Amino acid sequence: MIKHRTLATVGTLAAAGLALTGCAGSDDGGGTADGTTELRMLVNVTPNLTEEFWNGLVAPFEEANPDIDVVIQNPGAEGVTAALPRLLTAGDAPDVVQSTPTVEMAPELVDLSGYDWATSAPLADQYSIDGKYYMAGIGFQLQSLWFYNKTAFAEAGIEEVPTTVEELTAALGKLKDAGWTPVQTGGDWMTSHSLQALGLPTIVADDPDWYAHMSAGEATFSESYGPAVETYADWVAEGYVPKDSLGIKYPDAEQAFLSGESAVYPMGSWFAGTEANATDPADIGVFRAPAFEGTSGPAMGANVASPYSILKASEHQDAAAKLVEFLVTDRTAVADQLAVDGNFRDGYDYEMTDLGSELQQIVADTPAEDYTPTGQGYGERTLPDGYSDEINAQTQALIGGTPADDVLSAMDDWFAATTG
Amino acid sequence: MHSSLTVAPARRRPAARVWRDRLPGIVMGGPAVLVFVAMFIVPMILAFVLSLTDWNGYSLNFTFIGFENYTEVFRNPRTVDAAIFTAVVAFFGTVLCNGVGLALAALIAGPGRTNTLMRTIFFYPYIISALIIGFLWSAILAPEGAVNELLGHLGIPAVPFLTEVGFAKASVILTIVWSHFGFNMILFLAGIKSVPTEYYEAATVDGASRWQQFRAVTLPLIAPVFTVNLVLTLVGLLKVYDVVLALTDGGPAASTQTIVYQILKDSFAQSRLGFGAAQAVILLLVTAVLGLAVTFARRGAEKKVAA
Repeated sequence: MIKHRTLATVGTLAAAGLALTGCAGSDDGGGTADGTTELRMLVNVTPNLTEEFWNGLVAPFEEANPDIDVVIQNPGAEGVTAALPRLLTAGDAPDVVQSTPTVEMAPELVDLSGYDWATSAPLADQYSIDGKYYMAGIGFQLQSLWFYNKTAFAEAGIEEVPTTVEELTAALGKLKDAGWTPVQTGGDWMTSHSLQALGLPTIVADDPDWYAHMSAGEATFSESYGPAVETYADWVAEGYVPKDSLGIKYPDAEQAFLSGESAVYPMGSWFAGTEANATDPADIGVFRAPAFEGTSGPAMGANVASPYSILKASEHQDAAAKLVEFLVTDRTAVADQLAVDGNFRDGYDYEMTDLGSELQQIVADTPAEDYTPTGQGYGERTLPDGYSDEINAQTQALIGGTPADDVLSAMDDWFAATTG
Repeated sequence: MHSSLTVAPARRRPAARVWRDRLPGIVMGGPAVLVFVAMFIVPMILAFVLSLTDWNGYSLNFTFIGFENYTEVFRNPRTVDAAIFTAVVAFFGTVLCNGVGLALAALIAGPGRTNTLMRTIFFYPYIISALIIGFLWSAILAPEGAVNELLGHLGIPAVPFLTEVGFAKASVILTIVWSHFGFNMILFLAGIKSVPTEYYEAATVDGASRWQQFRAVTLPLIAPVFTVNLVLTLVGLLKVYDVVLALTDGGPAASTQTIVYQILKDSFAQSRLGFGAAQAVILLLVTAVLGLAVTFARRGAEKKVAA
């Protein structure tokens, strides 16, 4: 009897404990007692994209859909990319995520191919995987750009922005002669940005399937990137790219260019947002990264801005689809998102600086087929894992004085090792 | 004279009593064994299993790919470079940390306020977070950092401490030594303090100089401490990561990436947890082998002390 009483007591205590800790069968599918559907949206929270911004962004959607409550999930310092695998493995996946879909992630995502708003969104085709559309974004983040100091160009007697790599090289020479630091770059992740801005417009224009060919081992790095790497090595040798650049952190490099210490700055379009918020910045313009002479239709590196995907694990996929549709089609929502992070989309204007207007014009002038990934790529246009780090390391080697041939050979070896 | 001894046959204790005698040991040691198994053995087994897969961290679906990850470890130039740099850091770091630690311990082992103050000062870097140390030295050694500013004022050209491959490697090693030698020094101090003063008195009577006393008395008697210091430093430096992250972030040109830096990068930035696990398993084996090798190699010196 004592045993039975003990068992009953332990059972009661365990049940009470479970109930108190919420483990006794709570509704974790996102439904609430009042019948409202709770959608969890995992998004990047940054100094620009604050939680207040996100809550304000979805407020009109919640007003229009009183049966849906959108809960913004802040991944904290680890960011969405690191948090998502952890949440998936823990069985605690959000309904909607703001993240670039990858081949690894695709099996966990809902195929959005049946939605027009997804298939017609910016860069939808470029980001498709196996012909399926797993994300919808709001606009473009341009990558193949050279920002320039208008005062420096005027002092160096450069009247027109360069339209070929050869013209750009000549301009850098004039800028150096005029006493300017020609190219502003830095260490960390940003070093290879300049080499990619120099090479990709020609490489992808010449071979639109360059990413696929490289991944399949059907092209070599030295054949395709050779002229760009050799030109870059020449720039280093001529002093157009300062050898001490590698010790400069990204914020310092940005600040140096903003304050007029250097002449050209290869960077993504988000720099326009920084320029807009800067106090007394230099007089800055921007031009599209040119290709080598004789190349028609230089490619334009670009990423999609705010790509949204729906998780297969979501129990409210229809409600999640309604939310994503709102985020990528509602004119006010799209414009607000573009504005807050300095992104662009033809036809979606917001209050912007002159530099922003120049970028908007570049977006308007760039045919859809000119867009290409940069770095490791996205969608089906991807290179082996680790490519971004490797090209960054080899660009740093170039700045450190390693000969172009050695860098090209090292990159060929790396591709040979990683593509099997 | 002859005598015979008869040995009574050993009486077997009842099984119940044997278990009763063993019970306190099992009860008291059991939790520790359970924790060890749960926290070390199980993760090691899981890491090994993971290393045989192509798991990307996103899904619970993965494929067993045999030892493919292991062959890639030796084929991937970036991993090989990181392993070589880690070996360089471990070798020079271990030699320098112990050399500097021993020298300072010998110098400031005596009583006195100055020695106490010096011990505190030398030990202080060890208690600062490695990340803070990395950022601190990055600010000091950067192209526009404190040292180069000073050199500039003196009309001396800037030194590329963090931007030239050779300098950057040396900067990483010296920063690690700076942050770690205090720990070695404290262990050596404890060893030196435990040497009975009679030995020094006898050596003094025999006319031994301070150096001779150090070489013939101190060094042999602190042999076990030496072994502990060598093994702890070596194992610690094979796992070094945080100083590198904050000081150079693996650059320039990936020249200061260590193997743990590479493991974390491959596992999480590249979503290749299987490949990262393979590198971790190899590192674990190498660390165990080196640790045991040093311990066995030092056994001779320790036996002399025991004798």
